[in-house]
Amino acid sequence: MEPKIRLIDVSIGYMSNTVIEKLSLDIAEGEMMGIFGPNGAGKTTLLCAINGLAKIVSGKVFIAGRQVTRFNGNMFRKDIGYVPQDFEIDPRLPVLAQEVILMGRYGKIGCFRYAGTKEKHLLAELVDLLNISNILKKPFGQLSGGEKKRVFIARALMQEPTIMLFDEVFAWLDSETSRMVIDVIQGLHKNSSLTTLIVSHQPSIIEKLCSRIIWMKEGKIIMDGDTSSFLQKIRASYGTI
Amino acid sequence: MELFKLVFFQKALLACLFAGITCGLVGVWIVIMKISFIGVAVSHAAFAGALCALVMGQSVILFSFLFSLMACAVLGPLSDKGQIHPETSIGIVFSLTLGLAFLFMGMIPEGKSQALNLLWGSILTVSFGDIKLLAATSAMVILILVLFFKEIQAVVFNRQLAKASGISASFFFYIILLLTGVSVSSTLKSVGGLLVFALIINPAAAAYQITYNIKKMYLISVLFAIFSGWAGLFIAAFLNLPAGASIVLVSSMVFALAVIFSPKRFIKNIT
Repeated sequence: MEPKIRLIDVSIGYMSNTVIEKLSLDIAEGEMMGIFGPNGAGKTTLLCAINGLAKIVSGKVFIAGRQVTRFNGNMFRKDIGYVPQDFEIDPRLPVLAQEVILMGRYGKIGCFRYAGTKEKHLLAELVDLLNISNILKKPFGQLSGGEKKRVFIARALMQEPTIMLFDEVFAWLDSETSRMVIDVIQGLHKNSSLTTLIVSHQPSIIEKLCSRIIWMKEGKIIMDGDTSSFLQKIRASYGTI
Repeated sequence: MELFKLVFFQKALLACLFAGITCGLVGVWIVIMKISFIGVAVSHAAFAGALCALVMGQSVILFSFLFSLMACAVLGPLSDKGQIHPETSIGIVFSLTLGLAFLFMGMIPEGKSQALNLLWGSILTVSFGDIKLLAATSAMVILILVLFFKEIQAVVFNRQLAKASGISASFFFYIILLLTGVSVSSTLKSVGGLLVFALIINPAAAAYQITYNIKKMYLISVLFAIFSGWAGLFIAAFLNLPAGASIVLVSSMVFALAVIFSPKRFIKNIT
């Protein structure tokens, strides 16, 4: 069966630095894969190669058998939910949490059309799922790190994606919220066979969620295997997880 | 109240109304996206274009629009993916356009009065043709805002995330830059090349201090811009001061008051 995501010899660089070099990877439909590695390994860049946010210097990316190019990237991105790492937001920014969530749907709605009943129902479901009803009307810039993460997850899910990319989603989360997010990810994966990629440098979370884990270092994959291979390598490298 | 009966004053009030709508709306995008420096570079490019038109005996509006378009075409990609740091490249474009402006000013064949009018603005001598242009520009900005409200909102919030959800973020970013250039070109004659950007930035920056609702921010920014125009006109009329400068100073005072009484004044900057 054709992989859902295929990368063939993909290289990406920023300002004359090569971040990922000739990386090839196949990800099956419905697979939940973890991406582990130290800072600067190229984990976020790999996600951005898949959703077209990073400019590929050479190589090819295929989603469901179709090549992603500069000209058709938007078409694929509508079906790829992306939860970014935390970034700086001005707390005075005039945008509410609910608006940030709805923005995730705008690409799918398209130009000259507006959010309607379907979007309202989707929003209500996601608000319930992620327990964010109390923060919807708050200015987004004034939410805590964990609240922002949940809003970004809701935003990505508004797209009704077939692929989900989580970039360090568990950073800034307390243990209760982490457990909730783990339950949400596992529930989504079970109910809709969502192809899911999770970047994390927390081995305990990755091994709990993912059946396949790749370990990246300096832009290359140094290990690609199941959870037990990963745990063996972790113990060999660090003694414990 | 005799002032209202004077045709030139009525025209100036109308010009302030439409300039206020245009600058108030465009300013919201510039302020939220924190691209003021790009906007200044575009406005100086428009000014250089207007002076080039005077040298060549061509249409001031057309040339200022063309130059601002060229600046957008350079600054857009530089902002997106320049090899040089964006601030540096924008600074280079800014100094280039300013240099060109003063070069053309030195080359103007006849007296410098037309050039100085473009520098300081001449809102009291706007023609009905200028008012029609301002009205058309504000109608265009309003139309684009209404048609693409949600896409523009997503792009000004965060371009990368907008792109990640399937919106043509670069396209809408260039639309924003283009509309900035169009707004500057159309208001150049009335407010002046050195001051037009203050009318774009100050009302929107003041509105930013007041509200967390983007629709209200658009409305407040427009009201502040129109108020700055009208109040500046009256002050200039009663105190015999330059109108363009008075308008900008009023808009600066509006901003200062907004900061002082802002409901956001106790919130620290980026966390």
